[in-house]
Amino acid sequence: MSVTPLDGGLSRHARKCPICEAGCGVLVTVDTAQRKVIEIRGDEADPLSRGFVCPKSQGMKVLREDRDVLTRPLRRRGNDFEEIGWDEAFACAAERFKHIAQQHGADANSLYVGNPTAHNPGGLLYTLSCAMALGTRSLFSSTTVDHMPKVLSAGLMFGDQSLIPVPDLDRTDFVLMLGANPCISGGSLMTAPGMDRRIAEIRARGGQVVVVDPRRTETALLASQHVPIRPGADAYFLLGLLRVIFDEGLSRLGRLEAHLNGVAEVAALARSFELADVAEACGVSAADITALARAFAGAPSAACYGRTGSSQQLFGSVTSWLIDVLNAVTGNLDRPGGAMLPMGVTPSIFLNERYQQGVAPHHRWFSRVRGLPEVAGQLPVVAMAEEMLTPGAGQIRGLLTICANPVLSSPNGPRLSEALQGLDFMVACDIYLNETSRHADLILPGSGHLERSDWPIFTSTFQVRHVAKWVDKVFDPAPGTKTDGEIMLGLAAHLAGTSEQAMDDALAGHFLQGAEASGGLGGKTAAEALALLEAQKGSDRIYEILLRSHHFGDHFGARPEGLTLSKVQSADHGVDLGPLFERLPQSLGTPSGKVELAPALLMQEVPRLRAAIADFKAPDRMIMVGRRQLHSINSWMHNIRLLNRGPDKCTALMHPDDAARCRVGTGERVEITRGDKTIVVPVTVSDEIMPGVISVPHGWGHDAPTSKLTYASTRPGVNSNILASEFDVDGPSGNAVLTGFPVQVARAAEALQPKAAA
Amino acid sequence: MTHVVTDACIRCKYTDCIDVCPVECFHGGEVMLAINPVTCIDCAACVPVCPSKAIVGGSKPEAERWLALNASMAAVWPQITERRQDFADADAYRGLPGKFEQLFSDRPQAD
Repeated sequence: MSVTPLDGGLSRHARKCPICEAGCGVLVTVDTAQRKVIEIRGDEADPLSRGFVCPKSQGMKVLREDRDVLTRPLRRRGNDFEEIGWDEAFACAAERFKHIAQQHGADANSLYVGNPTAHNPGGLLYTLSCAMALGTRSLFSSTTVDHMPKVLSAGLMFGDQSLIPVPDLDRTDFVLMLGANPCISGGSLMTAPGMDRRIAEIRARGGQVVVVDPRRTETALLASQHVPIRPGADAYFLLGLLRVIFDEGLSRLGRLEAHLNGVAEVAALARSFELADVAEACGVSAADITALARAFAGAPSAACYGRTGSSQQLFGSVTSWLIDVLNAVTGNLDRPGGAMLPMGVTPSIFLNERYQQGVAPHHRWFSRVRGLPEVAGQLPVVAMAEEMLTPGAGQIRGLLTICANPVLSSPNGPRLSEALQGLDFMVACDIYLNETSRHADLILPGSGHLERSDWPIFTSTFQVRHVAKWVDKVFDPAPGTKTDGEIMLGLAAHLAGTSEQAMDDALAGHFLQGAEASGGLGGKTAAEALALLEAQKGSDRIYEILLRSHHFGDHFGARPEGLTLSKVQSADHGVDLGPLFERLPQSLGTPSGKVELAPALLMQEVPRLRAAIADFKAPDRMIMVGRRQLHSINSWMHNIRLLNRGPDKCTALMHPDDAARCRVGTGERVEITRGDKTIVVPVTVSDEIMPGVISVPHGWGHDAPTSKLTYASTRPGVNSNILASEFDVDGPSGNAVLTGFPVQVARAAEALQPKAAA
Repeated sequence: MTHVVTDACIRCKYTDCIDVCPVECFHGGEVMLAINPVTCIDCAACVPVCPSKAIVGGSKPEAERWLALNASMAAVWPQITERRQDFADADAYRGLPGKFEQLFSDRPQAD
């Protein structure tokens, strides 16, 4: 990291943006004495992002000026909140959670981890400490909102939930993308900031970029080809590609041939689906499927990649699996230009379980009320409300949320709100009094992005190129504030009845033991390695342990040329460690030691998939999907005026044919109904969305009367997830279904239409 | 680098770009906008929203003749932070050639 002094008492800091997975290198110019941010722009010297930033980067600056952002612990008194001290807050939380556990068992306390936690090293690490201190199995996170199917399929196919393949964009000749819009999202489970440029580079070297999506997205506009597809039908599309590949003998297993189990089974599976059938189901012609299969299989290298659209649907696990089957049978798994497995500068520390004595890291236990499966130690978020509302032994009575807003981000927010109201005790670690945290008894706000050090804790194993980066805080924390890491450590210590130092040391010891077991201490004992650490405490000490003991590290002296904390710290803009490299078969964790292309748990889904073809062929359904927006991430940036102004952003995209049938024009409102639930949304008519599909962005609906989101409440939008049902589940992973469900759309009542101009 | 406003903006001045700029780097002339090259962060949010497609990335060939103009005009025109509709007949000027020679004005926009 670098700090450059500038004139007038200013300084410029090379940092990493923590707002989304892209983790763009940024240059932050500040007046330290005034605690003021002057500007934030992209860092051209960052080896991964090369100067790219999106508008969300300004959130690091503008949030500091938002008067609704909380800075001190708040405790509920009736319908109001009063400020209390941190120690009092921790003591109160610990006492109440312990009481619940004593009365009702450890599982009566629950934890919900939200998305921003993944970009907050201290927050994420000490959340692990809290979970251990609570000793509860009632662990939930936004993973079961957006990508548990991929975690599951990685665990099944490769025996390690952290082995999620990433397209090797820098060298590929062909990218096939399903349910992903990385030019707007920044990329997810694929750390590749600056997708516009990467797509241009692929095409400039003669490569193909094919975007398969019900909408002609911003990414599709830059791609070589856009393939409109019926929402949720991706599995049929992939089976169609596989059918052609096996029929025409286009499969090449490549280097990994001897390490693949199940090729014959997936070939038989593909051959059991008729091309004409799958074409009709997914809305892509047999001719187009055939041409794409030939092009993908025939490319010198190719990578198939799927993201939220392929995960948040009824067949999320099957789709996530078939994506990597396609990669494997075309010889593109774990080879340059194909779907590769980033080693990571630090290993994955979350969602990273492997088989233990033949026991798979999923389906080891099931939720009480509906029997939904555990994956990676978590239960599905769709179970949360019923576990809280349904009486009986094991009923959840306490909740700790961390940087999370599941009332907006998960299905059926109103029912979840009702469930949260009924809890005995709830703590929300959040900077806002929002749709979820307003139910809490205690709100603990973490301090700002620039007041903590940072490193890519979650995204290290998704980088398309290995870059080590650690950046220091820019400002000292304001007096009386705490970082999310400090908050979680404080809570964990109080829950465990020990000191913060002891909890921190225990966590460091845990990671040292893991490093010792994996051979990363270079022959030293944990105690010897501990003594060699430069960082004495905190999340930076954990970073140092992980960095030095992993592939690129110095193994505590055994590899003198390897990375140390000070080497990474002194690199002005990060250390470029080069492209991805082969990792199979040695990294596999399957009991067989091979890649499992036909895991039983997923093959068992096939009859359901086959039976559902008829539904997809039904012509008269309107299907609802989501949509990602450039100035927004999930629910929490809408209170920032600079990122939320001009025309209403929460609009329903409708094709002109559907709009005409509903007699609506742009700006007029429709009612979107599913069962007994309705939302009213203004329409944007556009042929970018395919006929029969209506797209509503998520994360809106800021009209809760007891929230304190002053600006967002003036442009609240509508919560699209009201129409998502907690009873729609991807069976194998328990993931929520937020996209691809049928709805009814009608012109809203005249009383709800905008008044015509006089 | 920076992005630049080209002559396609002249006498349209839709100002859709203002709503999506996260750093308020636009400056308002009488008939067109200019981007302050010092504050623009190249996020490109403005590019797709302009009905005249008037904004391009500064490193593109077609940007070259507008780089100096944007820099000099941004220095003298006031910062514009709110959308406005200066020309009710903006649509009539969209896509017209020769707008710079015929219609450019270096005067700042009126308040």
